Amino acid sequence: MNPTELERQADALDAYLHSAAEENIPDLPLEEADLAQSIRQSVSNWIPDRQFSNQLAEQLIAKNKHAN
Amino acid sequence: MQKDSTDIYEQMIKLEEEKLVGSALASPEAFGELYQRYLPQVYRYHLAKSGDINIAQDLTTQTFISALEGLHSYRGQGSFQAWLMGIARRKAAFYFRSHRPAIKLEEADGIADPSPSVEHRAFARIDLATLSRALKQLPPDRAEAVYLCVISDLTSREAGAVMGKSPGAVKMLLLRGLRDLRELLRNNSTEEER
Repeated sequence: MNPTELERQADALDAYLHSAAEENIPDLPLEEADLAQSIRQSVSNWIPDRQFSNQLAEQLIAKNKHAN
Repeated sequence: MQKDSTDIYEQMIKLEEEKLVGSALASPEAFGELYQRYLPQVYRYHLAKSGDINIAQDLTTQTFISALEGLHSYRGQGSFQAWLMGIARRKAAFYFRSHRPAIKLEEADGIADPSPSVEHRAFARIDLATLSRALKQLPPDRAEAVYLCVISDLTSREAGAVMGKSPGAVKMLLLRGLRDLRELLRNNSTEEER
């Protein structure tokens, strides 16, 4: 059975999201790909507060040491 | 071709993760490596879902503590990241069952992307509040596919393991979720312009 157009687009979008190289991917839905990249670009700036990440790291190390 | 290279990449990551998990069971420092590696994905997942920094920090803490406590139960069937995001998903689900989503928009609006890339012009300015609000309007499975595959960077196979769906189903949910999201963001920006 041949994949539908929607399935081909879904496969192309998935390939685009996980490809490192700038490839020309047939059937890629450009607007959705563009939106996904914009979201990734935006969330890459959502970095946990350093104080929070350090405290959690210490908490995990202490818990792990205690468990061992 | 694309699929083969993705498979090889996934295998390499999995082997590396298995080594790290093995080390983490023996030494606290090694769990630190897993923590450093996956903290951003877990935090962003919770932040996008809650729209609130404090809730995101709380759920991130709960996720990693549960992961540490349950590390011995990870048997390497899937990727460690998928296993971890499964914990994150359950923590979020448990939280939102007992709390109404409360987005502190004035706080969340401060986390806008300060330097959007020029090439991403169509939706260059997506701040946390806008994204979080729009994602909440999507059908839950479509939104989950976006949270896992776009925000937390899981492959469709990994997201499928978390959601209990096939990779093909996740790909379709993702496409439809992004399509819905695009419409919502367009409509929102049109309304704001009026």
